Amino acid sequence: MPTQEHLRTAMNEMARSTDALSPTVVLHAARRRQTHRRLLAAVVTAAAVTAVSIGVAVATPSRPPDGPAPADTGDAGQALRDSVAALRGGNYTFTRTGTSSIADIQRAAVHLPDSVLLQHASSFVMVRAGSDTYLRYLLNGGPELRAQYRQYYKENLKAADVRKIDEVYSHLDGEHWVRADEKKLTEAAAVDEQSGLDYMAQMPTTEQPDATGAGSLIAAVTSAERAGNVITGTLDATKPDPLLELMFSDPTYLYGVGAKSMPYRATLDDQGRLTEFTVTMPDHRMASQPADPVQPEPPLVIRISEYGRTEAQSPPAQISGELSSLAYELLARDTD
Amino acid sequence: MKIRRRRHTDETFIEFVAARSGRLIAHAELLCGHHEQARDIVQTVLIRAYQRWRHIEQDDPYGYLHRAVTNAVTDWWRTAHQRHEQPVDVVPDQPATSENTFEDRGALLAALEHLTRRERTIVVLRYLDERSERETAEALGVSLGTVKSTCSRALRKLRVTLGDETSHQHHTAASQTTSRRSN
Repeated sequence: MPTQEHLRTAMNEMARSTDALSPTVVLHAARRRQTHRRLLAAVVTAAAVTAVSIGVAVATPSRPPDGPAPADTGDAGQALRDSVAALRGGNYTFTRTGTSSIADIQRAAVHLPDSVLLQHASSFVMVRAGSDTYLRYLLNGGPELRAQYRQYYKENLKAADVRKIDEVYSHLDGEHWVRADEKKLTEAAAVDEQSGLDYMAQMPTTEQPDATGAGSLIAAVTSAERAGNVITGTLDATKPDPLLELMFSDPTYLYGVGAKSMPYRATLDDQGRLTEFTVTMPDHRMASQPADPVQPEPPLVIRISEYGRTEAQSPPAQISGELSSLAYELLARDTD
Repeated sequence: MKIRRRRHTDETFIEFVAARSGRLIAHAELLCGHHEQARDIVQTVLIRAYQRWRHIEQDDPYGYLHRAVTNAVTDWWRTAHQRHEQPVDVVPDQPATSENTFEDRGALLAALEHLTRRERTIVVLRYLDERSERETAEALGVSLGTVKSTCSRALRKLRVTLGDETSHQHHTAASQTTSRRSN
């Protein structure tokens, strides 16, 4: 007859005798998937934004993006979908925090088609002004890793190569602006190596004017209730949308059944435009969590303002040069 | 110009997979009763976890992965049920015996097959993972009383199951002995 101790012993013996997976096989598959996901996300973001925009256009065919607000008595879900229509105008400012696999956005100023400013941190900023793109970036992310890399290069490369690398470091010091090629930055991010660029948000374009991610979130809403200018309800974070996956990091696996009904709170302005969207992460903890208190996941918060009043960005006053091919190569694996 | 270095995150990820993936597979297999499926589930979860490994590794990587595997098995149960699939290798080669109770993997899995999903999950969380009744209740979103009663029922079932097997074994052995004697 089995006792509880028998059961405990048998299960642990089984665990001890179970072969591990091959680490190199898992790592290889994981890195392949990472690259694939980033590329897919870029493509599908466009599709998601288009789908939401079409939905809004059909629902309110005669209303321009900055038209009158939906009636207070209207359907809350429809009001929510309408609230992102103004983003199609391509003129707004926003911040975004709490996403899982994309760096926080401290400030983004969108003024399409003329310009975009996207600031992840004071030392990670991109500006597109006209047809030119400029980057301010701290290579290697921080002083410690930066020093380690430079020491490594000094010890392992020829003096002439070290000089070229030093020049890249002087450009990418987090303070100076350099001219960059957006396409090459995207390609560097897609390289199957670890880079700060991996967490870079997508720059908006006239074809994809919503850089906030609100369109994808609202497309996943499953319930909505309105009280004044506030709409609350739940959304299904497991909907197949790579942007959602990036924002929540594979929600099914992280949050279990809670991922299908994550609570959100949307605030609209008097014209019915979205000004804030907050998703609260489930606080349900599995038994696998350590006994000590665990820091709750911060909420995902998007704040949008300055609709139609966001000013165009000028090119930086001082440009220290242009990124070389070596710079893109270093950027592709700068936190490797 | 060679500028590559081995990344820190890869090193810690590889170490984790080598050291802990076996235990995660056992956890998944005890839940789903299906060795190859368990390996697939754990590999999929690890591949997904890699995307944010640099965050995960700083907190409680095993706890995170353990939770993810539990959720993934639940998903697999749900979809397998929708597809009306029955795993083919859940039937063990060797039944439990009176002497070894859970001496081998097959006997243990055979006994767990007699439990409901909830009973099985509670037993695995309680006895493989050493979770308290309260922690198990929180993990599954059920009351403490449910954990207590379900666990008690599961243990009773396991005893009955093994008792039946034992009786069967004894009966068979006795019959064979009688048969040999009469021959």
